[in-house]
Amino acid sequence: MIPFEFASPKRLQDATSAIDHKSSMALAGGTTLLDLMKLNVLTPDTVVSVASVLGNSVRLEDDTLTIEAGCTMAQLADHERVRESFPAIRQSLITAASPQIRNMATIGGNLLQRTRSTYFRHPDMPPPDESFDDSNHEKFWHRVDLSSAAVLGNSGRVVGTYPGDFANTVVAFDATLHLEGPDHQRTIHAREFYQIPQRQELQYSVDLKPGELITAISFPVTPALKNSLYFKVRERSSYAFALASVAAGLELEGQGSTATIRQAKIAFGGLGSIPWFSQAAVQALEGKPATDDNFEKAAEAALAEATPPPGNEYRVRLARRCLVRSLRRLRDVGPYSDTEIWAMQHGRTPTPA
Amino acid sequence: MATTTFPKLSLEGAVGRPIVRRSGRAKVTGTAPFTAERNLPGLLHAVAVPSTIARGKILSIDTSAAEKMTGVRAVITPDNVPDFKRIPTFNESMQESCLASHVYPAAEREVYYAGQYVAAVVADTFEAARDGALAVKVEYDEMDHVTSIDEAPADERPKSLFGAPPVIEIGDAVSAFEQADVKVDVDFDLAMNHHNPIELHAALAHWDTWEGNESLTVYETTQSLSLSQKTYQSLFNLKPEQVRVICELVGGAFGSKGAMWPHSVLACFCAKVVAAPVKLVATRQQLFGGTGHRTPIKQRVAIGANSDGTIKAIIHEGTATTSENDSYAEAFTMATRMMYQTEALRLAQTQSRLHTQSPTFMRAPAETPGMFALETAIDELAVKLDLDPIELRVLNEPEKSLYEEKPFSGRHLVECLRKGAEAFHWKERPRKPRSTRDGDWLIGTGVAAATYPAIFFPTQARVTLRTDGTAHIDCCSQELGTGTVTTQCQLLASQLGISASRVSMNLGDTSLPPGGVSGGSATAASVGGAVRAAVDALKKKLVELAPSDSSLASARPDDVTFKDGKVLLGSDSWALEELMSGKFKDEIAAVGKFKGAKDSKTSNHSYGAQFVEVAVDEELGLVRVRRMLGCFACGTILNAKTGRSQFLGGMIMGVGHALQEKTVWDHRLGRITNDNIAEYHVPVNADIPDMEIMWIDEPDFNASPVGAKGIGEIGITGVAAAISNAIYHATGRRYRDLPITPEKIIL
Ligand SMILES: Cc1cc2nc3c(=O)[nH]c(=O)nc-3n(C[C@H](O)[C@H](O)[C@H](O)COP(=O)(O)OP(=O)(O)OC[C@H]3O[C@@H](n4cnc5c(N)ncnc54)[C@H](O)[C@@H]3O)c2cc1C
Repeated sequence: MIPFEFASPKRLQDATSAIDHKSSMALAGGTTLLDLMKLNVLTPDTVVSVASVLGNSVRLEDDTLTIEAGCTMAQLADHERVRESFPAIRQSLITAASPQIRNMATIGGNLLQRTRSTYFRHPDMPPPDESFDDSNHEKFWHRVDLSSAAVLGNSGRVVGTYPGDFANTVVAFDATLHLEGPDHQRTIHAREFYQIPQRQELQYSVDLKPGELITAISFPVTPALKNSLYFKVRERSSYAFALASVAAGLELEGQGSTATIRQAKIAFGGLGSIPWFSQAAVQALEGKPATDDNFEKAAEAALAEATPPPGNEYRVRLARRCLVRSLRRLRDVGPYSDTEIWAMQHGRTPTPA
Repeated sequence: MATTTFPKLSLEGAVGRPIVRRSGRAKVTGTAPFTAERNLPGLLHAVAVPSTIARGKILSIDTSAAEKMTGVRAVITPDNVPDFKRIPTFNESMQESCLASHVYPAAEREVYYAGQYVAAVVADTFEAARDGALAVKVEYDEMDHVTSIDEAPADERPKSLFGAPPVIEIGDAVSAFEQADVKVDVDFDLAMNHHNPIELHAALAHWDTWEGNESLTVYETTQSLSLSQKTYQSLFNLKPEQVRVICELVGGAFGSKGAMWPHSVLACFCAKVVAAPVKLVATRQQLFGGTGHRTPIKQRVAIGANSDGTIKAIIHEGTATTSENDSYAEAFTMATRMMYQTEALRLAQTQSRLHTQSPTFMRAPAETPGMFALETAIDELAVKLDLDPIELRVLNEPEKSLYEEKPFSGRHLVECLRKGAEAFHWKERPRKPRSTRDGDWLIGTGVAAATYPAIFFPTQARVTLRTDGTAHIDCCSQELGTGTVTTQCQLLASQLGISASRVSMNLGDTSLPPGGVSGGSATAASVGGAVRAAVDALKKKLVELAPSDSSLASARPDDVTFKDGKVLLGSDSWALEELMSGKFKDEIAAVGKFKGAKDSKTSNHSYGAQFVEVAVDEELGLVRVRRMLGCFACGTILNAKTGRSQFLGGMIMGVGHALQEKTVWDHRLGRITNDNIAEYHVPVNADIPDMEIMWIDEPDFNASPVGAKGIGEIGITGVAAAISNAIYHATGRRYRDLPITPEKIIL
């Protein structure tokens, strides 16, 4: 770790004016920032504590759920209204990280967690810069670590996967971020906030200007958010990043496979260089009957643009199946209960509540 | 057998009781003293500079920037490294040295693996040292490296497999296999693993003077205190009384603290250069490359049998890796020497060399990988023969150990299989794979045998009896968290006929009588043997002390027993103080020595049977363990609670070995990439189902002086095979490469 100054301003304005996100960085829960500072990946001169100047309330008003950025993952997941009515939000939090981390981590910091790619976490390990198409190099790809390489939004080369869970729910359900600088406020649609890596970049970037902090995030409350789930596949039963995940919500008119899909909300996690909202899946579903066949088609469409790194083709199949399974579940039974999620961790069949 | 190798010992009372581990309270309240938390007056901190290349020459080390930094006291490089002697390693001289590798820290001009400590920075604070280490600039002339077992030629035979030759042939297994009615011939590929104990490896070294001589004190995370002392003696040309090594508690090791890794030697170098005590804690990243690993292994098992299931031939061969300069050899074919009856047997190992740190002992080193291959192949044979896998094992139960040509000290494998099967409801299992579904899950069950040898290390213990009715043990053994203190106190309490709470024990310090390595599941029986010998020596002493007119004076020491602090002989009894006078006024002590059973007449191993139920979602590639049961025969169980915990821990490690643990490399760079415990997966609570542990409690006095064989490692040895067999039963597909991760399972 390289020495740094620590500041703990009393007012939001003092915090924002002191932060440029490069040499001077915001410290919220610290579970990303301090980890990466210990690895000498992030090397700010100044660390500005923002936890005490950010609000942490969760409010439901006029069909909008507003969460202030200082709210912890645990607090949001356990909020009564979230527990009762917004399964995808709760589930993308309780299947993330560990209870200890969720108690520390804030919603604002969560959105900005960095890729787990080894080439990012080790500044002295150069990433492979070849393109996947280079078929002469088949042997080459067995010799590098592609376990955190994105399958979507990678321009055919090694870039890091966006590892988080909650942000997938955020982009799926049309949430808006509230940003505040020393002398301005603005909002930005979450789907525009995240930008896929450009040439030479190893991971996503965000539309966050020097001096700006995320102060809140708001979800429009829709029927689809109520009939929603977050389905996460990971190597071990808990405390692991997604191999693939789906944030999904359906508003249906009618029953079973004769129902018509009025609205669909779909995003993938663990696959893209950014939290991956799938316009293609939404288009393939909305206005159509909720048949298995249409679900399969939506899954095909959603992954059509995938360019998996060699050896990662299975993650495309996995993602399709996660989506089809999630949609069927929402159509036939509705959201999972916590008990069912715990049962699945142990290879047991979820018994609907 | 009518008479046993060691005379039987009646162990009534404290032995076996589920007494809570003594260090438990200190651990859960955060007051247990672990090495890295120690402080000494004037303590400085060192941080190692690891190489970023895998093989090459060091052209230059620029220390100028680091030396100018605030708080930095010294930078240690090959230019100023203090004098030391290059000595044999653990693999070459097990009794004399526990040095892990010939590659010395901050002393080499060449790099042999990524992560090799090429320099170190000593500073007033850990932070300053870390900063300084980043500022040391090393220039290399890179050479070619090989870090993948697939790319290295396996053109060498290991010199010795824990004392046995690398090729063992009984009969002509190759032609017996060819002629067999039913054949299984399969290959297995196992990934490299790292131990990842929670406690990081650490050493605090302090050079001082003692009675006019130089002295070295090292607080160190080790499974081998007495051997560490000898190693420092040879490295620095010191006498035993000039070296003291201390380790009160070990926070997990799993073999990774058996040998002395470069950070310990480096701490001594640093402390010498700055003439002050120095603490060096390996970082989590440095545990991947700094402290050894389980080698990747490629194996082939071929079994030929008659159509009735009688095994005619077993061939078990393959390749493991070692490092460029060292000679650790993983004896993965070892258990196949005595598991099953066969007419012909061929075991053959080769090795290749990689540019890695030396591999080392990890969680039943030989048995874990070897039994995975053998026990999977046995299951495949049962399927081919359409036999129940338990019946196939029972059918081929040997009468004696084939290779050693000795009777078993106590085997009980069939009993373990039968008893376990009943508790697991094995009978209800449909023979055909893919027969059971639960929603999206395919359900399957599997069984495998487990085994681990009864190993002993020479150990001495001093037992003190006090007139106040208490007793005490001193032994330079180690407390790995297994409950050594608790169980040894129970063992002594039973021999003295007192309650365990009246017995105390000190360990973890080379100023105590020398102990052995706490590895190879050897501690309980080795320390136990020494304690038993000490009690025998005490009996002799008491007879000598007895007033000449008492019956005790002419007694055979063997006829003397103890009860409630009294000395008994037939119907006579004496309070201890009646026998004591002069210098033995308040207490009497004797040292017992246990040498180990070198030329045992029996084949000494523990056995067990392990059962697993898995759920497999082949659409998503998921395997989840739903039930596990282990039944073990390891002789006397000294403490039902700590014993059960050992079996549970072993089985949980087995889940990791089977489904999760894998060291990932960038072979282009020759570096490990998942060097943290977020990416290197070990099981979490949610992965572990309800587990049932049972045992056959029969003391084995042929193998062990106290009837107890080791229980630390056997728990892991059958799990991976039981899991892969269960996955086969669930899906109808075989998985022979570990770990069995989702990309292998997904259809
Ligand atoms: C071992 C481990 C496992 C994990 N597993 C998962 C998982 O399975 N799923 C998952 O989703 N996540 C996982 N995480 C990531 C974890 O959720 C994030 O680290 C956490 O949410 C970050 O929140 P924080 O408040 O601690 O952020 P900090 O570390 O404080 O900040 C993170 C970044 O955001 C910036 N920042 C913080 N607050 C603001 C703000 N209000 N405005 C602008 N910038 C801000 C900081 O400057 C920094 O760059 C894991 C983390 C670890 C260490």
